[in-house]
Amino acid sequence: MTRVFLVLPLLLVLAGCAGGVARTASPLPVAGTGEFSLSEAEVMGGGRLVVAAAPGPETTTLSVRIEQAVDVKGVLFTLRFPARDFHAGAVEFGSFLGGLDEVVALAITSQPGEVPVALVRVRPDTAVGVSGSGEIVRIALQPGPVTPPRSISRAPDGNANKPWDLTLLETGIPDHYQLRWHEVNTGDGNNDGNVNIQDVTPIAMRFGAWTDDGGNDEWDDLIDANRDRVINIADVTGIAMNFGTQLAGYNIYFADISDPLPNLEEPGASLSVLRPASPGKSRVLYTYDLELLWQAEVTVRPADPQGNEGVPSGPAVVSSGGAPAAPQNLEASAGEEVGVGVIKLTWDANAEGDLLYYRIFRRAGTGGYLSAGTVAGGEAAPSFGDDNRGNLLAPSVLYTYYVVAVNTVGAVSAPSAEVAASPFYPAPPAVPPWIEATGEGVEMENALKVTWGAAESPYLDGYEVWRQGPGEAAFSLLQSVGAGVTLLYDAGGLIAGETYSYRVRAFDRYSQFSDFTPAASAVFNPAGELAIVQVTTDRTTLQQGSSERAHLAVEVTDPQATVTWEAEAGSFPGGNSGCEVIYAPPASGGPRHVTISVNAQRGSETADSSVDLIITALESLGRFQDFSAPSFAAPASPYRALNYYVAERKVVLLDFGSIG
Amino acid sequence: MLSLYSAYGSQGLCLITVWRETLSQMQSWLSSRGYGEYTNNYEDTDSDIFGLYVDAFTGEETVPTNYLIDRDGNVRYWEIGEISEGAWADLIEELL
Repeated sequence: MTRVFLVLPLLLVLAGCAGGVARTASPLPVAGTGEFSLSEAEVMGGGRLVVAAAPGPETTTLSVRIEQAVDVKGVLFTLRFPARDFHAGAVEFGSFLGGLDEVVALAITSQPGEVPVALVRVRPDTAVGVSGSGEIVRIALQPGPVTPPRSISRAPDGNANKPWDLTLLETGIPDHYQLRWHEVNTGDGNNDGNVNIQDVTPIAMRFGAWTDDGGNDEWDDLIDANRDRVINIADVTGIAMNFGTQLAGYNIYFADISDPLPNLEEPGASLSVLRPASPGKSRVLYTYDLELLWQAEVTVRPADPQGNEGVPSGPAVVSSGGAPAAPQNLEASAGEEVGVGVIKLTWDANAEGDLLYYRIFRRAGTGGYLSAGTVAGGEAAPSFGDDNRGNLLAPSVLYTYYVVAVNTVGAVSAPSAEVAASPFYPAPPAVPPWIEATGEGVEMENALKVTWGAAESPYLDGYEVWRQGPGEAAFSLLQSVGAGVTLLYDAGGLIAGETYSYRVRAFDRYSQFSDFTPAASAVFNPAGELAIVQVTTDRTTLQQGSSERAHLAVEVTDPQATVTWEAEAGSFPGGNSGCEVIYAPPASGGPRHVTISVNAQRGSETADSSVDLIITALESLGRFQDFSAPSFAAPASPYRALNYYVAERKVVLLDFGSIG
Repeated sequence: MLSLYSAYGSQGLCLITVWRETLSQMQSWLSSRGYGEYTNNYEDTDSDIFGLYVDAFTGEETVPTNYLIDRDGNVRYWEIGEISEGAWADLIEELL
């Protein structure tokens, strides 16, 4: 039978719960109607889950939020709803716990009346928890129940759950064997016998680990539901496909006898062997001693607590328990036909009937040997293409290999003979045939233009442009461009009148570089006429010999132009160059009006301007100009000429002002 | 400006302000800033008075412009723009 589970959006983002992370089953207030609720909730950290329902004409939307979260690294719960009225539709995960690269998420929407949900931050043992409030998931409920109804049987089913190492191990006593095999319950990453939402957490915990990297390999092997040797988001599919599976033990069948063999350890038990209660993080090994009175097939079938059986195994293979023979005629090959960065290994198939797999070991240069991968036994012409798990082997490195054979009882052969090879890589790109740098006729303002000839390479991936500016001791990378680009405008902070040098090298898709081109140089002469836009001063009158200062500034079309100031009298205490200077009046003497000139220069171009300042010695500049006008004192008529105050021998500070 | 008047008014300094606005406009503006007590303000909406001084001295119609006039009616100093009170205090003390 086929059970179809809708795996929801592997919005992947994982999170997980480290061993020390507190798990809180919190009270779960439900907003809206009482028909919707949360159960089996687990918050990895502190916080409160709340579900709210928004009924609509076609779709009822359920939103689950976490409130007052404190250092939360994951949440697991089952959202329940009336199965007769609704079935689950689209699921959207909220971003509260993290983005797509931070969380492992799973929602099962094929169950009647419930949607189990898990979101766990990747590597929760090291991840930072999230605090605050936010939406966890939003689920659209459609009218009507789930069709078809879920399967009754919940024992592990399907080919993926067949034991692969069912073995009759010879005991040395004629006709007496030990039947042994490892449990297979795909998706049961936490090894509790049940495939459920809790199994998301182990994926988050071990996210990114390999099953043969030497760390927690036995546990990783359980979590790696799709058996591709790496723990990643793809493994949640194994949970979804097998969701609801329960494994209580196995029944053992002999020949065509319909009844399973009895339980030897617990007479009366309903199954031939029972699953241990706490198997830890290792795949369960089952054993059963039996005497075979005649030659016939021995098979096993997993069963759930109700006795429902799952997928039958293939027949057990007979093994002496001895190690397989060392693999023979190992050969390594590399070349264009094998692939770039890949070494292919071939060897003769072992003849043992209990052969389970081959393991390939590799070392780079004189380094230590590491596992490069495995190949299943049973192939007539075994081979292994080593691409360094998709990362490609490095060029110009000699890799040495050997292979061992492993049988169904775990016995390992002696190593094969060693072979060595270096992976094929194409020749690096040819150096670009020419390069030119210019500041003339550049289409982009205030830029230098660098062009070069296309490099030849069937695998060309792009170019690096390197630059050496004034005062720089060496070239440095300016920019990388794609393979179809042979032009670069350099407009980054160039200094007028200075020389810049460029060189280019090509690179291919395998990160191989050509040699650099020779350097090409250009002088940066910014486009546009040199001109002075304006000259400003913060004061126009200064007293001779005083400490008063005028702050002068000039705006030039080219900020890099050289600016100098000259004055008929007075001085520039901070120097007379630059766009901003300070002017001091003369100590004594000098003209009443001082013209300060400013000159901007760029190469042979020049621009001039000036500003006039009044230098007063507090001498009489002229007689006051009398007036009369309406005032506050006499608003209806002209009043009190200035002469009135002069006649009173007042010193007058006359201010012409304006509100605006 | 008013602080100069406060400091030197009792010693013979008179502060006169000529505005481009009407009396009511300037009064409202001064009152809003707490200068309602200061009344020596003149209305010069057509710049008739300001023009006299531009023609005679600065040649530039920019406000504010300030003039310092001694006890004999001679203009001794002018400056366009906001005055530097420290420098003007020195000038005033020299004339008082």
